[in-house]
Amino acid sequence: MSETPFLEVKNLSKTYEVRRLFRGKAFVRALDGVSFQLQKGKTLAIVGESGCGKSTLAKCLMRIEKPTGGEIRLGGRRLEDIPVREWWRNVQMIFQDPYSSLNPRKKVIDLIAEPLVIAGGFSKNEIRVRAKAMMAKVGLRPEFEERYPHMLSGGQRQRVGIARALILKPQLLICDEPVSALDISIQAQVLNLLMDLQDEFGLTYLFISHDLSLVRHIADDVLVMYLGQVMELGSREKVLFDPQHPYTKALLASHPDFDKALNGQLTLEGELPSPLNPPVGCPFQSRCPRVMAVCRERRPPLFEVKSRECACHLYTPDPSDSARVSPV
Amino acid sequence: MLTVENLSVSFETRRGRMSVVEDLSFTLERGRTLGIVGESGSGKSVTSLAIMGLLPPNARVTSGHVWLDGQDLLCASESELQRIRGESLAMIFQDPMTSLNPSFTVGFQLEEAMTAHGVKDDLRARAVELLKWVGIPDPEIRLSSYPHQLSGGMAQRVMIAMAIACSPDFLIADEPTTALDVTIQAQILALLKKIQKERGMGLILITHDIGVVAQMADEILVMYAGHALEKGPKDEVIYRPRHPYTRALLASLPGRQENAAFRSRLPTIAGVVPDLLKRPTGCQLHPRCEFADEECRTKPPEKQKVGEVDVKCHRPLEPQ
Repeated sequence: MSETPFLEVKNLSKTYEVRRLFRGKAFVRALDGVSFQLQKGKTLAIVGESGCGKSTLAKCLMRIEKPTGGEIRLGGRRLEDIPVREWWRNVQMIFQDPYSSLNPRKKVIDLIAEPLVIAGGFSKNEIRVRAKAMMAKVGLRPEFEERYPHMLSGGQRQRVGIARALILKPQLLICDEPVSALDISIQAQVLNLLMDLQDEFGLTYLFISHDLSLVRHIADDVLVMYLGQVMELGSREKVLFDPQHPYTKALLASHPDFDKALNGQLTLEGELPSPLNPPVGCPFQSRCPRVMAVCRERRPPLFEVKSRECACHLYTPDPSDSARVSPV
Repeated sequence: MLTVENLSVSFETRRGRMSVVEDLSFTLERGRTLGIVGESGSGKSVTSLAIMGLLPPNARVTSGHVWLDGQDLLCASESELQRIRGESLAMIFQDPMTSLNPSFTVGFQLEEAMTAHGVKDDLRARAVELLKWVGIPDPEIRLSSYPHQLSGGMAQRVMIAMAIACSPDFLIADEPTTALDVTIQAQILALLKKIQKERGMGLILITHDIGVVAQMADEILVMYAGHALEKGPKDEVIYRPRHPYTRALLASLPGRQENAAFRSRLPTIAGVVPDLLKRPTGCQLHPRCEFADEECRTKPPEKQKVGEVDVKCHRPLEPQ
């Protein structure tokens, strides 16, 4: 028996109701049966294009949104059984845009101390001492204490965001595109900081990113999502170095790398289908270079292929399923 | 041929005059791609606006020329510029959604772009042809769509269609794929490459993504604080960088071979981009450069040629 995973998400679904003028209600399945596990101290990267459900997943984990189905467990306990304040002491988040996620009217020291003030139970002095210590940890010099966010560079603001998230000593940190708004020369600094902090505090990261080079560098496991569904899930070695799902392959092929010239060849045609009106069967069928008749009829189940999970009919084990379908 | 010669641009701000581009020169021939890379505030977008004659009112070109086939665009009248923009030079921007007018249809805006340049006949047919050309499915139907009905990728395709409507000789693309998803980015880059090839256009691709330039450009220009620190053939700049900044920037990327070890700490560039109102003396990079010495701190480096590459550095590196 393996130990209880630190974070366990089982069959998580989130459906939004959309009211449209004269056309009645519609539903968007932002998350559709997402399951994964995350061990303590590890990093799981969530990869996918806009509309794939990455942010909804983060919101559900932060308890900003209430899932419509499935369950989330932290350290074996169900989300519903953990009071929200206690949850937030354990789960924190850093955001993509350090310009819009900090209150412009607060000083750096107060921004960092704010979670402690809200959590309560700390003396003024203790709050100040802890906030100062946290500033040092994230590499902000003491002279920044009295400054306002607009006086800081993007990298410094992101450090403030990280300090705020870590001051309650959470165990799980959700990082939503933490470096993509930063200048390239600053990205490496912040990434190194995140790795150092993870080692020092034994943090568990859920890392949302579209940058596959970065994911390859820091993630133990990778979850590839498309239209709210899991396409492929497994270790970085499996998913990024030996991808099986056609979508993962396409993502990797589209990723601009130096050592790969763009030869005018399209890696993937078409665009994401409307989440209001997703296709029947596999969500990826409209763009998949290897689409088969069965893909238009049945949603492929997640199935273990070459030591990772993959939802694709290319690997669906029961051939009788495909046989039932008449060729298009 | 498009030639930028010793171009300097500054802005009047409340805190004083801010020099944004300093002594920038490059040449681009038709059919070639120049990639301009730089961090925010490096002056890459201002350069493109200066070429297009679209600088904001508080900006001033303090020196230099922009030659287009022998004509200095900086001396051209507004009516001449209006003709040149579209017919000889065109530009697409980062966010296609804010570049299109939300209250008019795609077809109206495309046709407007053509009538502005004297095209009178077969407007609709030409518009359909253009949309088809940039890979928009059902172009006849799309003509009556409004911008909000398009996805980001589609909107960028429409922008490209408008930009190439009058077959410009040069296209400036300022971060054309930054707002798009990777698979859509790959489509748009492939489209730009196709258009360039078939129409023999010169392309200036401005981006902060070195991976994108590496795939697209023939030549790369690296900008920092308004200066062209390094300019040369793509492979030279990417694989044999001569400027410490270029090398450090490349070394800091997680995708590079040297950083292949899982969770290894990435080499960083200390410090931040300088405040352009309080520029450092000497070389602009010296506070962040590991090789900086007294000369770098006091004397601005002149451009020098090392092999095929132009480098603005007192101590250009030996290729590794």
